[in-house]
Amino acid sequence: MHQLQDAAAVVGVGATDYYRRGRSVPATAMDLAVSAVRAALEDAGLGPRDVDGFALYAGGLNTGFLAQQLGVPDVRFNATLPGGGGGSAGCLGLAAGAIVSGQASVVVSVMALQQATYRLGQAGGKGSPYAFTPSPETDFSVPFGWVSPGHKYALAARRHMHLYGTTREHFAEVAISTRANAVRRPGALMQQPLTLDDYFDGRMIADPLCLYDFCLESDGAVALVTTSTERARDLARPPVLIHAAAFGGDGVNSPQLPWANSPDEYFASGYSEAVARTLYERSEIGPGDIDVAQLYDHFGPMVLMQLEDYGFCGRGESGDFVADGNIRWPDGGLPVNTHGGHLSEAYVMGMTHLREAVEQLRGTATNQVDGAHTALVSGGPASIPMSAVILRKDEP
Amino acid sequence: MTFAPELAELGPDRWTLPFWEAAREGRLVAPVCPRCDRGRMPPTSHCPHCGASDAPDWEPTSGQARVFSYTVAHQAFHPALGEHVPYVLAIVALVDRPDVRLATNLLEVDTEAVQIDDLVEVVFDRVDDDTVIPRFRPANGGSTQPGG
Repeated sequence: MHQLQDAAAVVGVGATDYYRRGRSVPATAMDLAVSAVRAALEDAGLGPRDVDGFALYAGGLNTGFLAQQLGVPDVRFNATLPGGGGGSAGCLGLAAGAIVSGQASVVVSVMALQQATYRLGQAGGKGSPYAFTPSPETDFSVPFGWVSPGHKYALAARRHMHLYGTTREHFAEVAISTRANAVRRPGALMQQPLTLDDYFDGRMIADPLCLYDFCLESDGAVALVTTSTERARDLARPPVLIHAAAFGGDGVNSPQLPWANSPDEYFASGYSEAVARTLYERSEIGPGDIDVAQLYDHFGPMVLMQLEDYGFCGRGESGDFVADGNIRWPDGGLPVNTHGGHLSEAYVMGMTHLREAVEQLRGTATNQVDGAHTALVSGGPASIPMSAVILRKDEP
Repeated sequence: MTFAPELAELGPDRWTLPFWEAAREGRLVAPVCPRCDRGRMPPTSHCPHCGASDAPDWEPTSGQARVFSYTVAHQAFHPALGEHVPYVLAIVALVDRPDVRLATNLLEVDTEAVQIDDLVEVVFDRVDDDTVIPRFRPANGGSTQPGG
């Protein structure tokens, strides 16, 4: 048994409201983060003085400033995964590692986005993370107008269509089923149902990806509080156990540029097979035993590829898998993104997926999967690190 | 014909420079590991496959390639792309070295008619005296079908 298995648990979840991009003004990203963390601590029945660790991702935020505003007197663990949303689920693995190794006892993970002065999805411009400084790597992409994450995933989606016969109707099924979940969920940004006609009427952005294949751009924050399973059993909420976690990826094929030169089966995938293999090695729970999955949906078609990576269907079979209704709530065999995902609830870089998995396992989700005992949450597809966790109910 | 020249400012290092120097001379070259003979794209100091620390060899190529994947970009995510949409961003595999793929643009194409496996040939887009960007267009007098 892997030493982190079931050793730590999520005991608190908190979130701000979700806003369209820039609409959270005058709140700053730090304001949103503090609000979410306070809400998560309250949910857990803990206070800032109980916190002694931060486990973050996507480069984190200024934890010194965060600790100060929260009033955390003694920070004993402060680590962040690099990369972007690929590390989102992995922050729980980082937290569990800190707790099991005795480096911290109560660990906060948080993501806050406030895009009033920049857009994550926009290349160039003030404050853009995609503003370009010429480099040996980007020389082989930027001069060709390869400047948005959407371009990468359009190239992957096109290849998947070519190899496996995947169609835009399959992409639409991800968008439509996810929207249906959002419509039922108060606070989700998208509240109108999406039809197949709507989908095909959506403007093309990076063919074959249209408007509805791209995630939302939003503001908001979500925080989680993690502690040891032993301590969790004395707290306010039923513990949600971190059964297995993994972050990393295929070291040869993952860095951005070689994606163009990776083997076909990697190129047209969610890049997560290596993470999935590690995850299941550390788990007693296999893909057939997962009750609900929250799969990172910066781009809807990448949900298909992840269904394959995580073993919910065979390579190339995800189109048929979703066409058969498998990811639909409530009757599908594997409801996916029951909160409405990045496509239709809000984009907070993966944290909303973790929040939803915890709510599912507490039995308090809006679109509750009956008797959900296990949930898989992914971060990525992206460059290294990508990540995933399997969470489960505490059933000693 | 220059495509989005504002995006063509290059920042090569010693490992990638030979590619751009060859382009300036109108040659499309492919980086190959001298020890294991596998394509080494991107060109780097060490081979991820065999561990060789020798610099890559630069093999001459015919300049022909086949489309591996592509997207028709309709939205200008960068201001420099505003007047160029829709444009075709593609990944092509070199005919002489299929294990070397390049991101590029497909020029002089019907954006609705592009297909994977189309045969294309290099054209050198001379942005200025120092900067030449290899892009591609349909090969063989405009036929875009494989084997054509």
